[in-house]
Amino acid sequence: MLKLLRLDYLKVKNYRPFWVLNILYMFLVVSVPISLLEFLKWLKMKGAEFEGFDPMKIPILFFPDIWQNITYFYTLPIFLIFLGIVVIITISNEFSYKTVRQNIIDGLDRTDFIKSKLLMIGVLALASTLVVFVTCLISGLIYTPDLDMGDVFNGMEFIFAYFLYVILYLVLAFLLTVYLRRSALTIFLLMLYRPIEGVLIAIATKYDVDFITDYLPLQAASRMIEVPFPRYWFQEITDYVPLVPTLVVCAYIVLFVYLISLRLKKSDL
Amino acid sequence: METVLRIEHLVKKYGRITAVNDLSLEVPAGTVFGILGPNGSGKTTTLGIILDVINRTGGEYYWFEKKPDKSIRKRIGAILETPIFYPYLTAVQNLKIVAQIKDLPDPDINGVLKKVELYDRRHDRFKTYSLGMKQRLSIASALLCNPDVMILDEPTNGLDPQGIAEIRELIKQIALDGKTIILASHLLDEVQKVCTDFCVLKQGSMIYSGKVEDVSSGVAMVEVRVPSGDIGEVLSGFEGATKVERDIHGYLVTMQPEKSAVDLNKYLFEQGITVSHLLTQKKSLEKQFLELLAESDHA
Ligand SMILES: Nc1ncnc2c1ncn2[C@@H]1O[C@H](COP(=O)(O)OP(=O)(O)OP(=O)(O)O)[C@@H](O)[C@H]1O
Ligand SMILES: [Mg+2]
Repeated sequence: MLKLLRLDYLKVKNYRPFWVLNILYMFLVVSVPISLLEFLKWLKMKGAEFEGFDPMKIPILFFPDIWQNITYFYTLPIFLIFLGIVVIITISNEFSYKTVRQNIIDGLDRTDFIKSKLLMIGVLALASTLVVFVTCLISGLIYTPDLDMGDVFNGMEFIFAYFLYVILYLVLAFLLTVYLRRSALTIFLLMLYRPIEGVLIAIATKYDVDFITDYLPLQAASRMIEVPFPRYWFQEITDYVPLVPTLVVCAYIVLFVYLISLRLKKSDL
Repeated sequence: METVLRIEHLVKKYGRITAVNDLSLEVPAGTVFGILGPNGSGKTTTLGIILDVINRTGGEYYWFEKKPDKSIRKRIGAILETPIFYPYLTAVQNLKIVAQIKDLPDPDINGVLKKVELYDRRHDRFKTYSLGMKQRLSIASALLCNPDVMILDEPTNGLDPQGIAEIRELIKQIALDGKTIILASHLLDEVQKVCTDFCVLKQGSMIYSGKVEDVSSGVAMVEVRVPSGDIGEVLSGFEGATKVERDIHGYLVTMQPEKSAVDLNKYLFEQGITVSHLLTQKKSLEKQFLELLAESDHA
């Protein structure tokens, strides 16, 4: 396993787009709490309209709320697409350069190839989860007014949900690449995918069968981290990671990996 | 003798097209085995199958009498068709990847690059190489694991004459070390120069297989020239000939198996003709190859 990891490291080590996109993504992650804060400051400046209410007191960036609030942002497709593109171009390169063919001639087998790419996805997901975790932790420590250690790690399950979300999204990117082969088309389709689910959900809702939409891959994934903000105007929200969507996401990851190997095992390279 | 590769009834179909058609062959250890055949005869497809990048429709193949797996490919140095590398990486970085795949703890990267004369350009990216340099790099990569078996698909494609000569020399050297080489090529004199055995494919079927020396030692042809005059009639009267052809400079007489230039010379002398030039040629693989293809057309 370490061998496969090292192999993929050798492949991307000197591949600039890989690093550029990852670093860009990291900047985006770090910028979220900062811009949220700027937004709140801006609200405060316009404070007159709030009749003495201080928006800085909204506990968006306070423990324990911050975990859900911020991981919700990070799982928006606009963020994840960066990591998705990283996965798509590194894998579609292997097909367009035909290096996957040479790798196998040289002594890899098809399962090794899939494993090495899944490992890369795992490492990307872990690294980004780490960045997200540290960003949340530091922001929380800075902004929470009365720090109660009990609250700090309360809600950290959202970090785990984020990790699963990223894995699902990147495995989906892998799957699309394997079936479509061409990077531009795959990126386009991956961007379009969430809106497509949106359309499906609208249709299902129209025919009163919207319970099935919870079983769509990205819809299930977003159910793990519910939109948190209505709680600030006193609405009930799911402020934990529910079990069923989590299981659905895991099932999809397994299914996608199966479909990937189905395709790669029987295709000529 | 140990068999390195055994192929049994191999079939590959692409829709209507049968690229490989019930192909069976054996490659004994220590041979340089040439696979000949016109364009689209299934050479690359066959090699792709035994290297596990193309799925077969039917049949079996065995490396070292065992079912194939990846550990065997790690001991094979192979290039298929065009050189394939990561374009954004340098020669050294690319070879490091190969070494990583092949589990080579201490690969002699500089050594193989020197051997193919790419050492000076080792830190340049692959995409900046000329076709010949790319070809050389793929040969370097095939040599990297010090393989027991080499598979080369058109290895001299795109090389300059000097490069071709060097690669041939290299192939002979490797063969002298007792290694087995499987070589697909269109270049018949290449096969004749370096191979010990060969087979001919046509539309995916094997139409001939045998030793190169048997071809060269077979029927002789004699080039005859006379100072002046037309001796075509006289030559046609010679019983030892199977065929007489007019050449630019003179005549080409294909001899019957046991007959030689001595018999011909004697005959001509008896007919009162003295020749200015009499040269025995062994029949070339090229002629043999073309004849085989022509024969199979009639069959
Ligand atoms: N991916 C493919 N899809 C459909 N047909 C294919 C494919 N690859 C090869 N073929 C067909 O299989 C046959 C054998 O092709 P192959 O590449 O093995 O020939 P070759 O002997 O290597 O030819 P060349 O001397 O030109 O390299 C050809 O008829 C070719 O058109
Ligand atoms: Mg070919």
